[in-house]
Amino acid sequence: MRRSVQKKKKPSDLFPCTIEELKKQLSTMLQDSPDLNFSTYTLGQKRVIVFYFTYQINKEQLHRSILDTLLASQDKTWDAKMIQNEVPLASSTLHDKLVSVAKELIQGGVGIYVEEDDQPITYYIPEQARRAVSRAENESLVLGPQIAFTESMVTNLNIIRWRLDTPEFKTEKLIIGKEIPTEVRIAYLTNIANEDLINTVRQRLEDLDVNDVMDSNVVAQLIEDRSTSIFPQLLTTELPDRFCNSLINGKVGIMVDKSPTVLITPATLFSFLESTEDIYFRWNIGTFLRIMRLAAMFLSILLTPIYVAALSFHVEVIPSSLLVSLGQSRANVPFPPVFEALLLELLIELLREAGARLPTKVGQTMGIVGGIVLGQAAVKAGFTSNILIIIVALSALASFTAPSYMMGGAIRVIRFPMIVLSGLWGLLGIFLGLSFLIIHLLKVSSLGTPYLSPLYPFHFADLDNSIIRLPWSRANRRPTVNETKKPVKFSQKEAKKKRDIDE
Amino acid sequence: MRKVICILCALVLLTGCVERKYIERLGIITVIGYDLLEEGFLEGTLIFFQFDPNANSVSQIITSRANSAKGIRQDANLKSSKQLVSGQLRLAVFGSKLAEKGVMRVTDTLARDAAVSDLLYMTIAEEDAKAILSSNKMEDAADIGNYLNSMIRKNIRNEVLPYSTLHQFQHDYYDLGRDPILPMLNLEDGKPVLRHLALMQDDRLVGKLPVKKGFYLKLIESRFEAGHLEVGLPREKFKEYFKSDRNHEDIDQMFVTFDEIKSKSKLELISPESLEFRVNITLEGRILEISDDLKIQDPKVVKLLEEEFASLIEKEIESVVEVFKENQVDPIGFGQLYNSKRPLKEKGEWREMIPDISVDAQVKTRIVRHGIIK
Repeated sequence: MRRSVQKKKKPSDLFPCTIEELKKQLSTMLQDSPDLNFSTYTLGQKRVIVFYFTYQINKEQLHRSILDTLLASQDKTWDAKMIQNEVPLASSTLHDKLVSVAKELIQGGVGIYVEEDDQPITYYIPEQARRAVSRAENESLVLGPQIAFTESMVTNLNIIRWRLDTPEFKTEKLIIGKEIPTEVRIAYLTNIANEDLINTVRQRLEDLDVNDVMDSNVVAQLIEDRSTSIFPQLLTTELPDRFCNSLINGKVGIMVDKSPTVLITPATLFSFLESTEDIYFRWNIGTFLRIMRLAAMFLSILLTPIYVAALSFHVEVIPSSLLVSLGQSRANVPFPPVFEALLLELLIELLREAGARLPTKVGQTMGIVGGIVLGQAAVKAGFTSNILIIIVALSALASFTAPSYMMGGAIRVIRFPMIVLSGLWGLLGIFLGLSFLIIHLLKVSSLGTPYLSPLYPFHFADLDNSIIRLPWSRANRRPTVNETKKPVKFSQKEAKKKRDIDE
Repeated sequence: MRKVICILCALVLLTGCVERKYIERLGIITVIGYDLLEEGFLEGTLIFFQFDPNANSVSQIITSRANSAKGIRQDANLKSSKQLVSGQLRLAVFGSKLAEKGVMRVTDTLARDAAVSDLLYMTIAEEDAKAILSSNKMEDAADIGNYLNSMIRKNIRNEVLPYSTLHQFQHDYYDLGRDPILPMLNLEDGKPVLRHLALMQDDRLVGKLPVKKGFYLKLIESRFEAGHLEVGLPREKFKEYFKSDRNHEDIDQMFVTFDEIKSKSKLELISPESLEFRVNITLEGRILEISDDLKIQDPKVVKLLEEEFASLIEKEIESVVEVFKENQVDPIGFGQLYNSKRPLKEKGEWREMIPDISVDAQVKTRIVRHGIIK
């Protein structure tokens, strides 16, 4: 009678209760899951029930730490406090409500309840399917660390701690997602990163009102400044060395559980064209590579449109040495240059997409079939001119040099409107498109930081480590655009001193 | 936002497209020749590229007649399946008859056509432009236009010919106290060659100057940093320095070839009243070849060579200036210098004064090296 009165008062709070009652209630709450395992033992005078999801927990820990302790002496009469004291596991929680018990079970907990006790106890011994740390596949490098992040936040934090073993490294934990919560961490170095920037990131993340988050790329799109832009505004990377280097330079990182890529903010246009390999190379080679990538980006956007413009409108601009070969290769083609170019660009895009979607084994064959056979046949059949094939292949190659796959994608897509514009108005159209692009880039920002920095607003000192790379003895400044607490890394005077043995 | 989209759409739809010129539907004129016919008609000879999948040769030639330069293209369009455009025009050849009357009638329209490059080369044919463009002796070049074009470009680069683009022509034409000078094409055994420079009074052809003399013209006019020169020095003066008797006693000149010539010149107007000019030239060169066996190691010989070379150049400059005075032309721009001191009112004014000018050439030469082999 007393129990039923209590039930009416607080319907979820059923403890103390019988084992059968607990079983029933829990099963209903967890949708009668067939994987919910209950084992009942009679120890001393009381029955004890141990329950868990079979695939969510570490069985070894269950047997060794929990069951061994409980079943060691059959005469003992247990209660929750005693269990907490005797089981050699740290992560115990006492619960008042069944809902919280159920939640813990889902995440990988083992519940223990002594019949007619006040509180059930749970131990958090989860076992998550996770892959081993492996080589970076998408941002592959020749020089430098090959390790890549995995989907597990714990592993990722472990890797970062290994690289940044300083007490200044700080992470802030946030939970995003109303229905399916996901752990998100803001990572930075407290003595370097700008407070305003951290606050902006924190506020943007806290203000998110979403049901669930699929991946860090989604988080990036949710918190970016301008969602209409084609350009990525947060840098995603799977390389721990890149992530840590960014933090050291005063950027702020965002890590999302269940996602193998992390986010770096603020990002500028040029940071998407940087690779950590530039840093591992000698400075002069690194500078060359960076400038080459920048040139490749322009080439990729402009080469095909210029071909279309020159051949449809401006015969005057074709160099006389190229005139005959261009004209002869065009003579066979039945379409206007703009269709010819769009067709071939589409072909390349299809090849790329097919290559990315197909299983690896088939993908290689695709490349050969598409690249060599189709290209040859297209020219033979008078479908396209062979000069355009070279141009399109060159601009496709150039777009693949962007170390960020996101940015490469943006560059490839921009090409299509540019080709159409050049087909409509020739060089005028190209300049219209370029002006539009430049105006757009000037307006975009990445969490309040100008996207075109250091070109606009111009910071001479920031040219290092964005467009060029200086020798290490001279690269003593953190980017001013990050507004770090410590803008100078070391004294340049000290660095220049020679300390030979005989001094 | 909707307003912006409306305006953008209107902009795109209302402007329409630029006139399309697909390269395979064009006849791209590369060389054009103009001749004046008896009746006052212009005859144009057009060499153009056209691209057909089955054609053997991309180069075609068409002759047409009209009263104006643009009319020639209109008329030529009636004779070709392609639309003729002059955007790749690289060379214009004017027949001597037209040049004698004045080429401005044609060059004016070339200069005002935005599609025509200002860097197109202008030349004058010693006979008919048509004859030169119809020639089929063109070495291994793809077509006659290509041959003529590269021949002229090469010789301008090597500083054998004066810089004779449309731009330069216009500049010289409109400048007070200066006349244009153009290279002349002639047929030798049916092959177009360069032999003379055309002396022009404004845009009219009045005389010729051998290409070799063009060197001295360039020497006065500007810095010079290429090319080579073959001169004949009097043998008599070097007699005592001959080493052996393999010398050619029967010729009274000793031929010396210089190359890597570098020169600087400074032209001054000494007295505007008496029209006296002075030009100081310093010239460095390397001896490449001597026809006689000379004791070249002897510094005295080198000194003598330098002196003889200098006096020869002085003489040649005087003779070239003499030619200019006879023809009343001024391709060097003495008049420009005069104009800066005593402003001229019109072009004709200077033309009257040209025969009265006197030029004092002061040449210093230095032989930098003689014989790399020794």
